[in-house]
Amino acid sequence: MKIEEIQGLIKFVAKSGVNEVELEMDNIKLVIKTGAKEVAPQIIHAAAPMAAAPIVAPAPVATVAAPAPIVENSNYIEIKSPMIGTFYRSATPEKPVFKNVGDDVKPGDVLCIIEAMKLFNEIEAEVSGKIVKVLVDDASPVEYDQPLFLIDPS
Amino acid sequence: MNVIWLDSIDSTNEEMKRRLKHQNSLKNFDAIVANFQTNGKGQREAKWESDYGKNVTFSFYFQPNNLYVVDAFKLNQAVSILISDYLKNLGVKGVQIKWPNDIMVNHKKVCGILIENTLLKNELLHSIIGIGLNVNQSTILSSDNSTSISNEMQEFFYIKVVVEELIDYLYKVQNFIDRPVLLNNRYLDLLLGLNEVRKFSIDGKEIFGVIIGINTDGRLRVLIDRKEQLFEQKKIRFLFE
Repeated sequence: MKIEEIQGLIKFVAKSGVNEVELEMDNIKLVIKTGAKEVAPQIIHAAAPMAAAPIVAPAPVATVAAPAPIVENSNYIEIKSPMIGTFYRSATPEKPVFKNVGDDVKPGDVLCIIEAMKLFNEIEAEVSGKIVKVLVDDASPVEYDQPLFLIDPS
Repeated sequence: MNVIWLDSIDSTNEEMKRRLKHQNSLKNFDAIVANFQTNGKGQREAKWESDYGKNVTFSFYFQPNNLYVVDAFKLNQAVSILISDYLKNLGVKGVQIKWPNDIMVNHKKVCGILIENTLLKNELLHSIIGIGLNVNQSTILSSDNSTSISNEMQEFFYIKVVVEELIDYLYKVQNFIDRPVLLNNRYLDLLLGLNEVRKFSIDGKEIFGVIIGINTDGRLRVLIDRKEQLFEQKKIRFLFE
């Protein structure tokens, strides 16, 4: 089972509202329990005789709680995705994110990468300001025109 | 059009980005070539490995004219056609493009392309086109489904000559982008698996389907159970027998 599939499953279970799901297939047993607000993935390896690739428990992905409501401020500028693709906050997984909440941005600064069809597209800021909120999780799919960042231009 | 030769570098794409950021000295069609990449990049996590001096690893700087995000896939098409044309011109047989942009020879990967664009609003400002072409590599690479020109031709090639000739081909990238009909026809002519029943992995399942073309945004059109479906790059994988 791929990490993405496990992550997808956790998200699905988290959204479904059930408390616990047990899944057994091949040599993997997966138990996903949703607490009140957090998801604790537990992966139990049933007797796998040979040196199977270690399965890394994914970092808790989905929090069930809805994101804290953004303080609506009509002065904030939304940076939207110019395409369908995958949103990345850093150049490579081991590198630091381009911009964090609270960071200043100026035109020409790279905000994120959207990958589409094996093209890696760096999105540059058009405005100056401060990052108020990052609206999308790293490595998740984004739609055309989906808001990615909120920037306070003042 | 300068060709900058380096002995060893982490990745030519990274070096190009650094030069853009700190010196802003690159001109359209400049290239950075390395004998060896210590941290060659494939697709995001994927690493591209190559023995010292045996293969072609370089990045090509391209400032497109009026290329918009909706047409960005044309860049993939143009670059993969031009590399295929060059290989065919060298005498390599069985050259095909595996969607979206791997260059294959007899169903084995010979060349990988990694394109990094910078966008402002909906336009492509510039592109760094990273190319890794297996030339004289004779040992098996980490990915077992790969080959090299030398493996296919039983001949040895001078890396410097290959780089210079290949860059000559790449100068045509804008001309190709400006001719969308030719671009599409040429791409489909080279597309691996077009109109053939092939096995794919979709959502972890093995499924037979027939590639019937691509969409304007580059998505793959596949006929499955007589119904056409569109796939993004991460949703479908070729299964080679």
